[in-house]
Amino acid sequence: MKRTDPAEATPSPADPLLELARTYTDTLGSLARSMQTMMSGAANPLLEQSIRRMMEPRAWFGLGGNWSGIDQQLEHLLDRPQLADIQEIDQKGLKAATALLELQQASAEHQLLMANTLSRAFRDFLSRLAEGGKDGKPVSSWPEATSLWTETANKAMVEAQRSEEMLAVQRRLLKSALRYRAQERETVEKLCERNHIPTRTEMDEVHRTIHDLKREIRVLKRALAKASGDRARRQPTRKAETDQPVKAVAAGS
Amino acid sequence: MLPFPFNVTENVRELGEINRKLAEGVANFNKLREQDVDIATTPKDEIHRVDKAVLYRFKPEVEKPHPVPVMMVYALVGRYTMADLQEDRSFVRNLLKAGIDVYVVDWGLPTRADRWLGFEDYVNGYMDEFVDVIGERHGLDAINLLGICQGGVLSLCYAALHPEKVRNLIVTVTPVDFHADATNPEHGFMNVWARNLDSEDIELMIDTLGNVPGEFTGLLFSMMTPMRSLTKYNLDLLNVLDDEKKLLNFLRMEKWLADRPDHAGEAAKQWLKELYQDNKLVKGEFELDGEKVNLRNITMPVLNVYTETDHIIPCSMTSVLGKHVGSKDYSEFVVQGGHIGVFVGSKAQKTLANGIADWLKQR
Repeated sequence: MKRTDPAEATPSPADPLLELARTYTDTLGSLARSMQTMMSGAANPLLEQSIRRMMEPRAWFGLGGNWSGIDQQLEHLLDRPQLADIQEIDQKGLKAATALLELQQASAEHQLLMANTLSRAFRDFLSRLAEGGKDGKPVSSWPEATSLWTETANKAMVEAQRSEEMLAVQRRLLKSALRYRAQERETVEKLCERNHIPTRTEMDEVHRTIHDLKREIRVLKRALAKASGDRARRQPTRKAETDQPVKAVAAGS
Repeated sequence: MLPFPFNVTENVRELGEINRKLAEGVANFNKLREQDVDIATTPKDEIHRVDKAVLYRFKPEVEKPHPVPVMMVYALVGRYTMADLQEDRSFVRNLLKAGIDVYVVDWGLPTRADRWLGFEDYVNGYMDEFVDVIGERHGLDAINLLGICQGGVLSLCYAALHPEKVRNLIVTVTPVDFHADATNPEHGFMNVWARNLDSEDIELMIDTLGNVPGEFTGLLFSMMTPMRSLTKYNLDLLNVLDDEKKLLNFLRMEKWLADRPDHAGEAAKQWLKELYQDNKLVKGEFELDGEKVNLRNITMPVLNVYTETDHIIPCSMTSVLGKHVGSKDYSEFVVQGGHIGVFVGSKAQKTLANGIADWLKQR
């Protein structure tokens, strides 16, 4: 989706709200500076930065924030050469934990993108309200306002769905969810083996064998039927076929 | 300050109206039980069963139905019960009233054991056996085939591989060219979504999940109309709560939507990779049991039913069938409505089944 350059964006009724949000974070940063100044007589940029980061939504979702330290540690652990006498189950558990972290990150990215989309939709909605709603007629009731909102939000969400950014995020989300599920299964299957319980993989193999056998039987039956001769053709009378152009069947005919 | 006029009297009136709706709605809801929300009520008999797939015959409503019966083949996504949603919105009933003898294939509810079923099993296995059964019952070598959406693709494959067994072919809202994207951005999201994935992503999905869960396909469909999906239970439902008839219509559709079977894994892989991604059907590269599905082999009369406002399978994907089949008797029937509305919409009740019946009776 094409992003609007803030410098070129026309003012919208949502701007005061966005300005309010920026003012809020700036104020907290200033508050941190003031508190530090009161306590030690000097401003501490590290404390101010920490408080800003605490107020930054991307840090909450672990996007480029403190999470990157944890998953790096896990990757480092998993990357080591495997030692024969170290339990495989522990390795699998670690892999599952890493996959879960990836899934949480991908999920957070998706949620952030959706939140941005809805924010843009709200900005567009306010613009349309100011311009006079649908068809230029001013909105005069809550149902009309609701209808305008659903139409505007739907348009924004449909456009966002098809954007390169959203498609990439959705793909990452799907892949990470599937990888986590696959890793979860591997871990569970290891436990099943230890407890003499058949696993999903083993059942899939059995089903596959049965399926392939059924298919072979079907092919053989067809060959047998063909070898023993086709049934005699019995057709009701049909009108003569002619070379006809594409016809349109009229509705109600 | 609100960006629109705030009329206290009008808003109080609206609030009162909403409260009235809610009160009557709660009363209506409390009266209803699960068995009141009945769908697929047209009487039918079980004729044949293979694994989980069942062939039913609907009880004819005329004394002498048309001599060549129709076998209706639904998609693997969703259940055939949509075609018989309720008494006054039933494509099946309308066909029966028009004198057509109707059979339907119920694909059942696939489990993990069905994960390996592919298109060849559905086409050369179940469909072929059911066609033979119907043929035996009626003393015919060829019957009429009617496919709905993905069921239409199954029917096209069947007609191409077994043309001698299909007398007339009808496909409805059926995708043919999977790369013919819509120009309307609100249509054809599946094309964009499927092609966004790599082939390895699809392999990973099927290998991990086995079958594609019904909830997953349900979510994809919801994404096609995002706000409609989000406001279904707080706006759409609120609007119909106080009208028992409309409320039941709403609940019947919900009942059908909730019945989401899983999609057999291998068939889903073929659907997404070979059709949506590689578009093999129109290229003549789609293979079943080692045999290429050549649409030119479809030489029997063909009726292609589609709608120009289909947001799931845009008409750019459906309307192109004529240039790919080998039939000299190819007709198109453009109807009003959406992908599902074609079958359950009030306008469609008067036109769709009668149009198809008339076309069949001439052949």
